[in-house]
Amino acid sequence: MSVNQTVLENLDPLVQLVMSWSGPVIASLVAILVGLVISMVLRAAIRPWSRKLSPQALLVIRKAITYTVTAIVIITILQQFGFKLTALLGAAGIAGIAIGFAAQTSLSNMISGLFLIWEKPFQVGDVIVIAGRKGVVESIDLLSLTLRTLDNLSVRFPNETLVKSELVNITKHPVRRFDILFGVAYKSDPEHVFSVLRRVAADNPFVLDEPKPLISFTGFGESELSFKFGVWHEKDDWIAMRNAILADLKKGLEEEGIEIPYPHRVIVSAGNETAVIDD
Amino acid sequence: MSTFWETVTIPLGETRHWQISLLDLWVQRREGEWRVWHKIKQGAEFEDRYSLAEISAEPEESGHIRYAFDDDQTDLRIEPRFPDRPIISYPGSPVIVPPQCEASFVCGIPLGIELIAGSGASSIPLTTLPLRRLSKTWFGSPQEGEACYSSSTEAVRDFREIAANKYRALCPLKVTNKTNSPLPIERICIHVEHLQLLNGRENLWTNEVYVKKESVYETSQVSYGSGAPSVDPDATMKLSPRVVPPHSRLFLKTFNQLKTALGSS
Repeated sequence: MSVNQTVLENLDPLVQLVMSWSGPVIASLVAILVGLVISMVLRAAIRPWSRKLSPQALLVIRKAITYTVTAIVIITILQQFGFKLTALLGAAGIAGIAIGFAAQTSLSNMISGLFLIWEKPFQVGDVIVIAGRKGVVESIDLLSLTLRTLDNLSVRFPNETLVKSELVNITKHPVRRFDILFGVAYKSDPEHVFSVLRRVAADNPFVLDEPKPLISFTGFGESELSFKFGVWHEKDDWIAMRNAILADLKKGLEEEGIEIPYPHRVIVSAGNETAVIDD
Repeated sequence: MSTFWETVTIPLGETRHWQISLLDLWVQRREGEWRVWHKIKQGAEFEDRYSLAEISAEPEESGHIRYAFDDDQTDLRIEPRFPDRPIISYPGSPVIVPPQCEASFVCGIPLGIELIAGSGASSIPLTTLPLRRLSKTWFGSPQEGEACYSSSTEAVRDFREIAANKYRALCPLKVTNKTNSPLPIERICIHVEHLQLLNGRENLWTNEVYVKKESVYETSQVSYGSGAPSVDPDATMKLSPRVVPPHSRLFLKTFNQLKTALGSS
């Protein structure tokens, strides 16, 4: 027997093995290819909805398509290789209970994520305050949210935390009001203060004419007459407006001779001598 | 009416200084670039001020902008422009249009300028500038609305109540109340992107604006006339609308009838 014949005889079982598995392998490759095409078609089909749906909702739908198609392809491949799915599903049922207990936090985060998509309390780009952290929403994922703080830290919040906690969306509405509480000396005329506040608001380029500024005499403090001055501005002008209006207010009051007093007390003794003590 | 728009030739290395109403403008032509400085004086009303001077030194003002491109044209055009936001006009005191009645108003629209390098097909817009600081305001509720500018000119019933001013265009507005309820008017929002600018005998005009309120539950229907207003039919067109209004009527929230309790502590 020649060497070639010997090699061929030794390779024959291997060839038989490959031939027997070729069908399932080819079928599996076809299943993977078909799965990829279906996934691409379905993801393209939801593109026209991108204007109506939020980015979070689109993300969930895309992931659902990917996971569903992947699961179908895996089941198809397993069937091709002769795995009995009934036994597998039975085992999966038992495993599911164990996994459910282990993954309840992740499931809670995922479900919370769905509620956030439904309620839309904020969107990517909004400035929010959550758990004492203020920052810009960078991404909203299935399990968590990523916040970029104003000093450029990246903070990850599980979605469950967002649903359970108080959340403040600073940039949800297009205009905001900036309130300033201050006091003036008791000798001041409230009407004079009102006119100064109106002029300060009118002269500031960031303060909106409407809604009209809030000017309110709020009460009699221990050392001062208390006022509340609320000015409206576009949300993008927040920092520039805040810096400018505080400086303008101080300057405006000083120019009109209106004093912003330090806290103080007047004590009258039994001998009719008075003393002023800085508190 | 005499106008402030013009074409000026600025040779290389030279600077021109304009004083147009409350705006001080300096433009310098250099090799391959134009440099622009501007400053706006404080003031709520337009000043009737215009001058053009050639100056030898750069202005002391800081913060100039350089427009750089390979072009050797030396012509600079100054063209009028409407503001980049709608204008809110106030009637001074509340006005009520009774049911099934109509009323005419005239509103003042402030003008700005656009600087354009070159002429004809090779024109290159550089920038737009206001002629005075326009006051920002908001039309709508704090939850929803649009950013606008306030007009410093009260909306009046007769255009002769407004002093002629070449830095302000008069917008004739006709309001028709087709509802069965009185229509109170506290403020009027005018979308200037749909306005034409016309040069009349004694005033600058826009095309006429028609506002019809057919239901208290719906927004107003707004439509725009074309060409000179009926009060000055010989006015000549200077500027076409920035955005041509669609053929169908625009439904805009022109009036604000609601008194929102704002600013409550």
